[in-house]
Amino acid sequence: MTASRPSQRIEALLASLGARAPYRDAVLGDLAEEHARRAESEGERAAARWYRREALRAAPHLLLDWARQLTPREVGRLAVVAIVSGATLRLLQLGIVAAVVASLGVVPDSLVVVNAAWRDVVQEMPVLAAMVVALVQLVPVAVGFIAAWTNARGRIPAALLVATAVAGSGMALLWFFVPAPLPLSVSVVAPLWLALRIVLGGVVCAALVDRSDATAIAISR
Amino acid sequence: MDLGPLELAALLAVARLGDDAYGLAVRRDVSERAGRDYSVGAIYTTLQRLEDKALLTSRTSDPLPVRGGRSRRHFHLTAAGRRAIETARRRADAQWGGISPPIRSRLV
Repeated sequence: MTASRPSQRIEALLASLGARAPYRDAVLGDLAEEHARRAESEGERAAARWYRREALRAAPHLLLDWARQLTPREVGRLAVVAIVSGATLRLLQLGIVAAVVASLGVVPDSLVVVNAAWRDVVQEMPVLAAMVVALVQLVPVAVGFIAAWTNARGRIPAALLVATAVAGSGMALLWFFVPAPLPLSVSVVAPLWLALRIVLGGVVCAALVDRSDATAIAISR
Repeated sequence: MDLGPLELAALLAVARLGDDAYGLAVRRDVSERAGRDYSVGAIYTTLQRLEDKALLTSRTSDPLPVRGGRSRRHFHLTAAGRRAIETARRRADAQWGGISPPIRSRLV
């Protein structure tokens, strides 16, 4: 009888937290071994539940191991990824809305014009507006995906870093440049929602890319 | 060398388990004796720290199917590790010095 295997997707997510290979393999191996033992004695469902809980508990340790081994060069590289991703994200989001406005014959030469035209789009073409909003919502997910894709050694940490940089800079800009007190939905919830979508992109990338890598390794064995 | 409570517990577990001292066995031993459930990550972080302090060495076994083709990482005490255990014991004994067994039992 073959031993029960834990979720490959969760294994891939843990692997993409960037810990050193000996540390990562020891932790994932122990989790897999204990999962197999529990599956035999307590059943698959109980073992899967135990595995999910332990994976959550192991994640911060794997992430810390990644952070401990960062070299100054990698920190610099990640900072560049964060800045470029952040700028690309803002430009893409603005660009999509400006393109829609321009397609309606309005010259989007300033933010005020774009905002005014966008309000007209929302009122007169709600379906188009909803589609554009959905597209804009997906941009941070794509940015997180790309940040993770370009950092094979630590996909999720890269997405986390970009999310922190983008959301943090957004919050800082609001607090510095907007004199009136802003509602929590604008000053806190919106940046957090943005960060969450970027991390989601990283998680999706890790689950898809690293899982397919793991499957390829398993097949080759 | 000062050791934290979990570091000492892990070091003692490695000493007790001998050739069977790998992460999962150390975790079981430490958790049972401490009466709390330590995570796999916490145990490995501690074992890694002890290895960085040269109190432990590690070697990997052959890959095992039950571990998804991964190896076990077995830990062994170094001479410095054994000295650290002895030092910790002497310190604990010194702290208990002057407390007679009946008082000890009342304290416990």
